[in-house]
Amino acid sequence: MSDSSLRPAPATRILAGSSRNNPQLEVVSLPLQMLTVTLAIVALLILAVVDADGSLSVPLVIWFSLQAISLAMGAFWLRRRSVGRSIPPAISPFLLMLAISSFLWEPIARRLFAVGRPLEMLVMHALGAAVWGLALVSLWQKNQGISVLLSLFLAAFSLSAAHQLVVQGLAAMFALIAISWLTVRYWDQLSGRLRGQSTRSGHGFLVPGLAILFVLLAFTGGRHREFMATLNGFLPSSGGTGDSSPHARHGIGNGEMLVAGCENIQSFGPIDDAPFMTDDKPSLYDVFDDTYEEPVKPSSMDRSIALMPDKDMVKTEHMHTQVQKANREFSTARKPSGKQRNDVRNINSDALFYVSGRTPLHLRLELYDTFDGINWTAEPGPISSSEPPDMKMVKESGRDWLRLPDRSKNWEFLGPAETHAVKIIQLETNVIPAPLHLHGVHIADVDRPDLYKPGPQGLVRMDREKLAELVPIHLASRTVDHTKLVQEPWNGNEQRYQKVPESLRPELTRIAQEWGAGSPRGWTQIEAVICQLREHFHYDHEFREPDKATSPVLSFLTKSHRGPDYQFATAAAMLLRALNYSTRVVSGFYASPGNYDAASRHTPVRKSDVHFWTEVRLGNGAWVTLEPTPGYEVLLPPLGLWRTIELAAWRGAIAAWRRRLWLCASFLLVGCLLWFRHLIADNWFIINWRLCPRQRSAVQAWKILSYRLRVNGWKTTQGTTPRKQLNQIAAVLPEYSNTLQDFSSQLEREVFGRHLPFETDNGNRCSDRMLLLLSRSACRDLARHRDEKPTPPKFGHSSCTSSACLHRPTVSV
Amino acid sequence: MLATATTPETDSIALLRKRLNTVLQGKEEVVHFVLVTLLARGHLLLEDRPGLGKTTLAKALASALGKRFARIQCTPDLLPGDITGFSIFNQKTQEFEFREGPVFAEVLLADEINRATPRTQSALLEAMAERQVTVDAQRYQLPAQFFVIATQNPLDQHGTYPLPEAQLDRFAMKLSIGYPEPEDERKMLAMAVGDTEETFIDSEPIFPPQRLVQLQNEVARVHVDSRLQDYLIALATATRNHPHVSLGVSPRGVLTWQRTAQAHAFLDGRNYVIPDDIQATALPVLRVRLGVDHDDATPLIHEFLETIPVPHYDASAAETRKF
Repeated sequence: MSDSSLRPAPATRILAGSSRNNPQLEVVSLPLQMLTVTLAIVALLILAVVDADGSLSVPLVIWFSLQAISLAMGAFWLRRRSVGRSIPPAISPFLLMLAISSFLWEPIARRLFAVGRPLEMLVMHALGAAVWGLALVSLWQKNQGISVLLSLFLAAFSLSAAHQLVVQGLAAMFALIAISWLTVRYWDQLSGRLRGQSTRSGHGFLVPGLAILFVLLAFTGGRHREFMATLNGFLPSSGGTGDSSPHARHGIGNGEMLVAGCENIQSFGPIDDAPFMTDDKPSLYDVFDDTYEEPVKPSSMDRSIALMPDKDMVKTEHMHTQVQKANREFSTARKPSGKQRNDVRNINSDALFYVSGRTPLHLRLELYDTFDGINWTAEPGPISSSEPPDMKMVKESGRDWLRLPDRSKNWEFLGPAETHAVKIIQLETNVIPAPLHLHGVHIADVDRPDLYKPGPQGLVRMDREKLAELVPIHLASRTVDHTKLVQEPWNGNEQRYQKVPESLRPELTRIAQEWGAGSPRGWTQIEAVICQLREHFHYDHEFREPDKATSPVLSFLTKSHRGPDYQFATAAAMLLRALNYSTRVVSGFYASPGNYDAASRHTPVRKSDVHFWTEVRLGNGAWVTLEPTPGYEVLLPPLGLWRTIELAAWRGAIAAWRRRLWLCASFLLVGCLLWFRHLIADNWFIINWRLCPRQRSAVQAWKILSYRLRVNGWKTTQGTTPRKQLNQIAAVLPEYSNTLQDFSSQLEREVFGRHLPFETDNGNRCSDRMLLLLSRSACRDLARHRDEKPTPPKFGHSSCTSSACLHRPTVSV
Repeated sequence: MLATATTPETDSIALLRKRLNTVLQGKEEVVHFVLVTLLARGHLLLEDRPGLGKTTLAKALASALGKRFARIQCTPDLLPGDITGFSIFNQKTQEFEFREGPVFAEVLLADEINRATPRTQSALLEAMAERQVTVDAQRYQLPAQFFVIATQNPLDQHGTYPLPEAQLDRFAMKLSIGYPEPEDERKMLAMAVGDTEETFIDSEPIFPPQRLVQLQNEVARVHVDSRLQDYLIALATATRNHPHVSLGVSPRGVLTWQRTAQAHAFLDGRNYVIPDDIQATALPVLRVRLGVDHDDATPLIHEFLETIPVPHYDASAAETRKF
């Protein structure tokens, strides 16, 4: 750079004393303010979606649009007007008025327009108004943190009341923008923009940062339902307080029906300290009839027809005197379902009982071994003299457990022991609903084995008319590891589990052999049959085979290919029997993971959870649960960490494959954005430069130039000033040294000479010339030709002649 | 291009610079930093071999400023009174009269200060710091533009009393003139033919009275942005925490550094400091006061300048402009 072109600066009057930064004047950077405003807009959008509650209306869209536009424009206008000024004192009362405006408007709206909001929505709208106001004034440093924090709270509370899937996407967008906000704020502090923070330890972003991280962990940790349930507890609700509100968003409008109170506590899960209760409740078989409709009764004409041999089989196989209840039969021929019943919610919880522990869980109540083509007949119960109960009481950890045979030492396919708890609410049975491979039962204060009675084949009953209500029954059982069943022998010898009605055998055998062809005998073949049912048949709880069908199961297998769960169970049992496996059908309840209540951490089991499934017997006498009905699953042993990760990765891969088009489009878009990121960033900076005020034209231009130099590999150290960089460029482009020098002076004047009067147009001209001179391609060429290791200036012993080292005027006399 | 109108002050400085460059050929940087030290109201330590023009420089400077010049050749037998002055009994008036010592000159050259005893050094350094001397319980003010150029010989350290760090901190800068380039030496020889050193010494002063004080006051008012002060503090902190630095920059040193940066900006024609001013004055300012494990602090100083980030040139600072 030529020194001869330099002249001393004009003698401007130096103001006495330099003005220090007033903390009240400190404004945040434009990117940080934009991110804060965007966070507020996204939080308001989430609130709008929740407020719409599935019904998007034009006024709501208009209202949100007005909020967003007014916020963005207002924030920008305020920024331009308020530079160098302190925070107006009217801000605080303005924010307060915004916050309470929702509460003030509510009685007016209810009276004039007959529309209203429940309490939780009122609170959220008040919070939304405060968020709007704080985002508007977020250009000042002191309003930044609380603006972001309230936006976070608004988003989180809105999410806790949301049911729409789109809200999840908005939550992800909020999280991404929040991370960007944290990053920009961190770099702002490092760059020393916020002088006030340089004296502090930088805790300003710690609280909102931790809060955002907490929300992200709660969501990504997979326990977001519990998190939302917890969060919802902090929000005032319009239900459960005993008041009745016509504007309530949930329930049936009667707040008092949700929680009954201490005299009629029937909504609690299995806890050990609830009192005994008795009441008139539906019997188990009323439950079955309610769920599956009544069986088809044979007509009087049919009774005169000679009984089918299958019916004789029933008489010879079972002693009816052993059937303790006359109606221990289940007919697969049921009446068509009538008109849909209204799901009446009564005053109490509609759960029959509650289950705590891992789900899904098949809770067995009745076992059926004989099938006559239409009816399943239950297994006889144990004869007290011939089947002595193998039950004894043991004390473990201070509790009395009924110990049942545990074959885990002999049967390697049994998984680790796990416990569940069942609490009967309204179910009349004395059979304890329990999973397969039960080996322990504990009921508080029940310490004698004679209070228990063995049920049919592994079931346990209480020696009383029905189970005690509201008393937790703890169950210890084991699951089956299906991967270890392949080696097990499958040759059974109990004939009653292999009987197939002769009228159905040919067809069943044909279908079974067709499905099981190509699979080796054993678990693989069994899985093949079950998979056929799960994948090619449709579960339809309401569907019934026509009355004229002689065999509902054959009609299911060959014609309709749809039906309720008992048809699936029957078909699976019969097909496997046709392949000489020992099977039976089990009825009971299915505790579904979908019904899990995160708030109370248990699974309610309702009438609709009545279920039928199949069990198959190994050669060593062990039974294995089979689930042929689509949509139902069998509880497997808990997975280890690596297996869980492997499964998650596999499921992720499957999900990704299903959405491959969207994924490809997203990758393409992201790839394009990354490939052209420098171009996009450069154009974005150019736009900012064109829109910025003239008094910071050189600063914005330097931002662009330094970015261009940096991305093209122009390396500098942290201690390299812009003047030195421009001197280095001048060494490569000496013909432009005047332009570079002018720009350097203008830049330094804008940044450090703030007390000087602004010189119109000069900054723009300098910046224009510089941006033209140092285009993207020019910067690329510069970086290529530059000497990457400039020698530092030397003082003292040798004269510093390099014009890149010193910049001082020389004057000719 | 920025407007570049000249003022009487800038003309005077340019003339002064020219005269000193004429006296000391090829040493523009040294002359520049001498002017920086002068305008910053600091004192200068020159560490160099004999015969490189230290005395000539000091004399030319005094002459140009129109000030008195005094020279002290420090020897081990130099007494404090030889510097500050002493009282002598006047037989005629029967009173003690104070005879001013060389320290009362405006420009004082103290040659080989490391040869004087520590007691004598202290007397001079105290005068430099407080701009007053106390003799026989009587306080005497020194001139407002009191400027000391002290010299040290880097060789021949036998029998010397090196200045302790606490006293080195009183100097604004440490410079080294060095041998001239052959071309400059040729010019010097050519100029010496038919000319005497007194030609420059007896020249008319460039600065009118009090002009130097005005300039020094203007330098003190040169604007220093708060971020540049943070930058100074960051650099000073780095010097204090470096494992190879036994003594970092003191707060007095930081104040001196800021003042020299202001003077550097003023000489550059600006009334605001930029980071380059701080970096330009870093070497001479830090070299005199940093205590390092090695002989030369230059590599460490370069390391500080390269690793401590300069203030960010951003828009938020520019927004708070006042009109």
